Amino acid sequence: MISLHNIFSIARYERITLLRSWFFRIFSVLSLLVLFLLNFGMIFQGGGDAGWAIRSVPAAIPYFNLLILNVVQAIIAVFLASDFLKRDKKLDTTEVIYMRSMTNGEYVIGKTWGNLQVFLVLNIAVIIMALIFNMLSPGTPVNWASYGVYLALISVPTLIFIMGLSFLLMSVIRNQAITFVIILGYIGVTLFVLEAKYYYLFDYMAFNIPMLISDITGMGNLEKVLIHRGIYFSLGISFIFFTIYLLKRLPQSESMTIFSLLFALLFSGAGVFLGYTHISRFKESEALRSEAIEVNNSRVQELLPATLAHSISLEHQGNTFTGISKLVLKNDKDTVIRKLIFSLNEGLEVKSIQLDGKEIAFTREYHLVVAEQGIELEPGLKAEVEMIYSGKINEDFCYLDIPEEERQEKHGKFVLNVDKKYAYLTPQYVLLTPEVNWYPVIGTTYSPNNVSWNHPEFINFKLEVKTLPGLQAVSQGELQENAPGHFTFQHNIPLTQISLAIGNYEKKNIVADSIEYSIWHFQGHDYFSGVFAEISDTLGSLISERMGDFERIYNLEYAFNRFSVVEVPAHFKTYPRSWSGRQEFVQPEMVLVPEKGYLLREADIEGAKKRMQRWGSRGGQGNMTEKDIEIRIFYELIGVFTREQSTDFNRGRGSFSMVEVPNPYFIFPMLYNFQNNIYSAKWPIINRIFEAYLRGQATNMRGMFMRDMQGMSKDEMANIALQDSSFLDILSDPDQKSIIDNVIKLKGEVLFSMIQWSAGQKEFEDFLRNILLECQFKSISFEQFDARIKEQFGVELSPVMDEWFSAKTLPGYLFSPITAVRVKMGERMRTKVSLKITNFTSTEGIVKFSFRLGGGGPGGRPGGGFGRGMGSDDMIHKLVYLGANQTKDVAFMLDADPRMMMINTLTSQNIPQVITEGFREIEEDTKAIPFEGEVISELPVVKELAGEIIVDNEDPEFEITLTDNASLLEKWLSRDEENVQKYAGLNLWRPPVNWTAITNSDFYGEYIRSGYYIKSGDGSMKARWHAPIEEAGYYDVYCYIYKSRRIGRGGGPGRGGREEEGEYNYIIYGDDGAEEQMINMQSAEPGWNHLGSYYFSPDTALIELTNKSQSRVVFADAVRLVKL
Amino acid sequence: MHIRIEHLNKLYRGGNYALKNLSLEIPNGMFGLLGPNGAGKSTLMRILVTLMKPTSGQVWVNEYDLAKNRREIRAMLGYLPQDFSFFSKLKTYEFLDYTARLAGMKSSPARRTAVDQMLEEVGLYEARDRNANKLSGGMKRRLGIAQALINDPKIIIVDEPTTGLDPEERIRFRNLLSNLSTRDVIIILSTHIVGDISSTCHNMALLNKGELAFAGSPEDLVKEAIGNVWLIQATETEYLEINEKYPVISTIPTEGGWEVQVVASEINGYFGKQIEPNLEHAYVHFMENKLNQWSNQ
Repeated sequence: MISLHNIFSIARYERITLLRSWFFRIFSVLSLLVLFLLNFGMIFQGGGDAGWAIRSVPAAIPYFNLLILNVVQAIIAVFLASDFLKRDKKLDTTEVIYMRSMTNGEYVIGKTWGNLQVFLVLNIAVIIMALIFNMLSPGTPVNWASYGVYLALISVPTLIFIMGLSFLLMSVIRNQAITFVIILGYIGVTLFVLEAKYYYLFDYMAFNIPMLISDITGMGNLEKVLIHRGIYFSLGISFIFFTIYLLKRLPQSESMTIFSLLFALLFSGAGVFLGYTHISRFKESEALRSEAIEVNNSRVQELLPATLAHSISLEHQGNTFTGISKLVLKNDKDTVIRKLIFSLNEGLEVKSIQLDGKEIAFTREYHLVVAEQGIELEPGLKAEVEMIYSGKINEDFCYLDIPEEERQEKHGKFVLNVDKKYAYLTPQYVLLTPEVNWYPVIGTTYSPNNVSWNHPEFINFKLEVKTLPGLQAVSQGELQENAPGHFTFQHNIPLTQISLAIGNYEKKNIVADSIEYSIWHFQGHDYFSGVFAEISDTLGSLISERMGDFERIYNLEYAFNRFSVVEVPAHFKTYPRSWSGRQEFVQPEMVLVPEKGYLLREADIEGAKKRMQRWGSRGGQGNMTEKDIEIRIFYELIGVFTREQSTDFNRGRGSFSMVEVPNPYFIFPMLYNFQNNIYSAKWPIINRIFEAYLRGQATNMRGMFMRDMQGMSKDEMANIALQDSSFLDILSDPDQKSIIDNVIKLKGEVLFSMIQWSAGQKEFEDFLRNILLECQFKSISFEQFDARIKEQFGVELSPVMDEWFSAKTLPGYLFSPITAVRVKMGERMRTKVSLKITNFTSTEGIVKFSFRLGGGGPGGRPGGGFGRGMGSDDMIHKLVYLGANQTKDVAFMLDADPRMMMINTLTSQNIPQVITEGFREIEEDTKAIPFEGEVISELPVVKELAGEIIVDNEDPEFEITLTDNASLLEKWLSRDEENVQKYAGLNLWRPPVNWTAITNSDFYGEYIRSGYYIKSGDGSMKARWHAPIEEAGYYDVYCYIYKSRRIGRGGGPGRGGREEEGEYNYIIYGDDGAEEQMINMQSAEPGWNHLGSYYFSPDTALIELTNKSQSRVVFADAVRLVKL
Repeated sequence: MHIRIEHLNKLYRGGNYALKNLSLEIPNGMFGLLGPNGAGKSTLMRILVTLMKPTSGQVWVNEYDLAKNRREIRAMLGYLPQDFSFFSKLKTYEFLDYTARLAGMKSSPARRTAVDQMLEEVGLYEARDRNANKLSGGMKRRLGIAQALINDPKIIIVDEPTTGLDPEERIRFRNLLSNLSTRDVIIILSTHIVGDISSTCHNMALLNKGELAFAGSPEDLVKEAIGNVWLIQATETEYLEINEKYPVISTIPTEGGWEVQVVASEINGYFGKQIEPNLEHAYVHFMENKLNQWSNQ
C-alpha cells in the first residue's frame, strides 16, 4: 500500500527546501517582474498589435502569462529536479532518510510532488497577477475557466514531463551538469528548431500548439490538445516510474520494483499510443484529403448543368443539422446530361434525392454525391432536384488545395497560438461558409487536374433557418424573423454563394445611400458603440463618402443593398487561393471578422484614440479635436476592408522587419467576384486575370518602400520567374505558389496594357466597365468579351493568348537620364518630362509610366481609409510600346510638377522592375519645345561612350572579399537571411558583415541596377573593380555613389532619415603606386564622383573600396574610367 | 528483540570481502561492535539498516527476514551514520519533524511533543529554529542522535556516536543509551572508544577483516587478558626498547624514567608488575595475540 503520509511528508520538506533556495527565489521574482512589465505594457500601455490581441480575447491574458512562465519554469525545473538526486548523492543525510520505512515510489513521488508544489505556487502567483490585470483591463471580461484550463494543460504536463526526464537522466547519468546540458539542448531544439514541425509533436512546452480559448466557442481543438498534453503527461509519469525503478535504494520489497517497471512501461505505452494517435489523426486527414482530390480528379470533367435557383431549408439540431435543398438546374450545354454530381460535405449524410418529384438512386464518393441512373436532361431543359441531408461537418474536406505544411503553420499573434477552424456546428454557435460545402453545389471541389472545377454561378438563393429560440441567424439577403429561432433570408439578386452564422448575435446598423451597414457582434462584445460619440450623427455620411471613394478608385460599383461585418470566433481561419484574390472572410454582402478583430491593430479603437491624443498633446498632430481623432480612427477602421495588402510587422532578435501580406478582409470581391464572372474553358485563369487587373487600379507607391525593406519585391520575383518559365509553367508549378498572385497581376497588366495602348487607355477602361455593368450578376465567356473588343476596337485577344501564355522571352530596356523642365504653353506653365528608351531585345514590350503630381511623397500613408494610400486619383499613367530592338524618344507634358515618376517595365529583364525617379526643383527652360508623344529613334541609349570604361558590380571584373570572421552570434543572428535570394533587402538596423547584393533604382546598372553593401569596419573587407586598360595613358577615375533615401540624400536630416556621414575609402592602383582617395559622403553627389586622374599601363586597373568608414554602411556600385 | 546473522557475506566488485561468513547473535540491550578500520563494521551496519544488500547470508530480526521484510524492519530502525549532516535549508526542528514523520509518527500534536522532548533530551531545544549550517559540529552530532532515537525505534544502530562530543556530552549520551537499553530494544554501538562499550555494553563482537574475531561479553574479553598486562618502571633507554618490543597501552613520565603499561605474557629483564586489565587492554591483547595485528606504529 502506498502511504500518502510518507509522500506528503517528503513533498512537504522538498517544497520547504526548494522554496528557500535562492536560485528559485531569484527566478520567481524575475519571472513575476518580467510578466508584470509585460502585462502592464500590454494592458495599460497599449502594447501595439499584440496588446490588442491580448485584451480582446479574455483567455489570452492567462494564456500568454502561463505560456511565457512555462518556458522559463521548464528550464528551472530541470535544475531543481536534477538537484534532488544530486543532493541525495552528496549528502549522508540520505542514509537516515533512505533507511526509513517507505517505498522507493513514495520517496520519488513525494519528491516530485514537492517540486511540483513549488512550481504550482509560482503558477498560482502568476495567475493571481494575471487575474488582477485582467480585472483592471477595461473591456476585458474574466474567463475564469481559462485560468484553470491553461494551468492544467500548459504547466502541469510540462513540469511532469521535464521533471520526469530530469530524474531519469540523472538516475542514469548521475551527473547534474551533463543532465542539465542535455536537457537544455533538448529544450533549445524544441523551441528554436523543431517548433511546430511534425504536427508540434515535440512541443512539450505547449509553446506552439494552438490553445487560445475563444470567448464564443471555447477551445476549438480540445481533444487534440488533450491528446497532445496527454503524451507528455504520460511520458513524464513513465519517466518518474523509471526513476523509481532505477533509484539506488533497496526497495521495501522486490515485487515493488517490478510494479514500478510495469507502471513505467504502461505509461510509456500510453504516451507512445497518444503520440501515435496524435500523428495518425493528421495523417488520416491528409490521406483523406488526397483521396478527396483523387475523386475530384476523376469527376471534374463530367458535363454538368447550371444552377439557376437554390432554396435551402436548414434545421439546426445541436451538433448536427438537417438541410433540404431544392435546386433548379438547367442544361446549358449542347448535349444531353446523364449524370448529376454534387459536392456536399462528407460529414453530411444524404437521405434522399428527388429529380422532378421522383426519387433517384445515388452513390456517395466521399464528399461527392453522384446520381447516374435515370437521368436524361436535354439541352435547354430545366429540372428540379430536392436533396435531404443531415449530419455534421467534416473540416478535413476544406481547403483541399492548401498543403499540409501551410495548414499546420502557426497562426496567431505574439505568443498566442490559435487553432484553425473552418466551420462551426455546435449547439450554441454555427458558422458555415461555402468552403465547407454545407449545401449541395453542382460539380466537384478542388482538382489540380482541371481548374474548371471552379465555376462561379449566379444563383437565386433562398434560405430558411430554424434554430434554438434566443439564437440569431445571420446570412445574406433580407432577414425576416418569423418566430423566435425561425428566420428566412430573401434575395433580390443572384449570388455566387451564401454563408450562415447562428449565435447570440446582436446587431448595430446604419443606413446610408440606401445601403444598410451592419455590425453583427456577439453579446457583450460591443466595445465600439460608445467610442464614436462625437461623430455618431455623421457616421452614415462618412461611411457613404468612403464607400464612394472606394468605388471611384476601382471605377466599379458596389451593387448590394447590405454590407455586414459579422463577428466570428477567433479560430476561424482562411487562406489565400491561387484562383482568386478572395479569401473566405469575404462573402457576398458580408465580411467575417474574428472575435473583436483581435488580430487587427485598427480594431483597437480605444488604443488608437489614446495614441492619437498622446500625439496631439505632443504637438505632433497640430490641433486635432476629439472629432478629428474619431474621424481618423473611423477611417482607419474602414481601411481594414479597403486596402489590398496589410503589413506584418516582425520584431525579433534585435531586428525589425515589415512584410506585405494579402489583406484577407479586402472587400474588392464585392466589386468584382460577387458581381461578375468571365470564364473560359481554354484559359480558365482568365477571370483571375481580370480580377488582378481591376485590383491593380489602385497602384500605390508603398511597394517601392516595401521592396527596400524586403529586398526584391514579389513582383520582381514574379518577373524573374517569368524570365525562366512561361506563364503556363508557373501556373502549374506548386513551388511558385507564393508569387502566383504577382505573376497573374503582371501578365494581366501586360495583356491589358497592350489593349490600352492600341485602343486608348480611357476608351478601354470605359468599355470594360460597361461590359461589367451589362453582365452584372451574370457569367460571360471570354470569347464573348473578345468578340466585343474586336467589334469596338478592332483588336483581337484570342490569337495572342497562346503566345501570351507560353512565351518565355522578355524585353529588356535601357533608359537615358530623365529630364524635367518647365515649359510655357501659351499662358500656362507646364512640365515636360523626357527620356530615351531602348529595347535591346527581340521581344516587344510595354512600359508604363506613372507620375505622382503634387505633394505626398513616396508611399503616402499606409492603410488610411477608402482611397487614402491607394492613390490613383493623383496618379497619371502613360503607356509606351517598344518593338523589338526599338528606341523611342518619349516626352510627357504634365499640368503640374511631378514629385515622383515610376517606370514600370511590367514583365522584363529589368531589375528593379519598377524604376523610381524623384524630382526636386524643376526649373524653367525657355528653349524647350512643348511636346508630348513618342518618336522612334535610330540612336539607341548609349551604354558607354568612346574612351570610357565602366565596370559595374554585375560585371565579371568586379569582386568582393568574403569573411567568416564574424562572431557566432552575428552568424546566428543573420542565418535566416543568408542565401534566401540573390538580392537582399536593405537592413540599416543590422547591416550585413559580408558584402551583400541589393537592388535599387538609384544604383548604376544596365538591366540590373544593383550594388553591394556592408557594415563599416576595419577596412579588411574590400570591393574591387578590375578595369581592362587597352591603351596606356592618363584616365579620369570616377566612382558611382549611391545614397539611400532612408539615410538621407543631402539637404540635412529630413523625414527620410539622417544625412549620411563619414567617408568612403577608395584605393586606386595606378602606375605610380597605390593612392588612397576619400569621398566625403556629406558632400558627395548621388551618381558619378571624381576620384582623380591616374596613369595606367595596358593591363587592368585596380580600384578598391574598403569597408573602413565612419558611415554605418558602405555601398559599392560601379567605377568609370575616362581616357584623357 | 533479537537479531540473528547467519553466514553473511559481502563481496565487492574487486573480489574483496567486506564481510566473510559472519554469523552472530545480537540479543536485547546494548551491543558493542569493535574492530580496526576496514574490519567491516560499517558494512555490517549498512546491511542491518537496509542500505546495502549482502552478497549472501541471512539476517533475521525476530521473525523477520531482512531480505524480505524491509518494511517491517525499517519501521523498527533508528540509525546514526558516522558522517551525518542534513539539508542546510531546514531548521533543526523541521529536520527532526521530517524524520519523525518518516519514522511513522502521523499525529501532528504527538509528533510536535516528541520532537520538542527529543530536542530537550539532546540539548538542542534552544537551537530548534536554527538552520543546519548554523549548528556546531557537536550540535549536529546531537541532532543526528535525536533523529535516530525519535519515535522509540526497536533497533538503534549508531556508528561512532560520541565522536566530536565533549566529555560531558559523551557521558550524557552514554546514559541516554543505557536508559534506552533497559527497554526491549537492541542498540548496536560501533565505536573506537573502547570506554563507551565497557561502560554500557553487556555484549560485544570484535570484527577483523570481515570476519568475526570475538563474540561475547566485554568481561569475557577482559578475562582473556588477565596476566598479560604489565606496568613497567622504565628508564629512558628501556622505554625505547619496550616501545619496540611490546604493544604499549600508556606511558606516564616519572622522576628519572617512565611508567609504561604494556600488553605481554612476560617482560623479561624489566622491572614491572602485573595489573588488572580493562577492555582496552583486552582489545589490544586480543589483537596482538590472537590476530597478530597490533602495531605501535
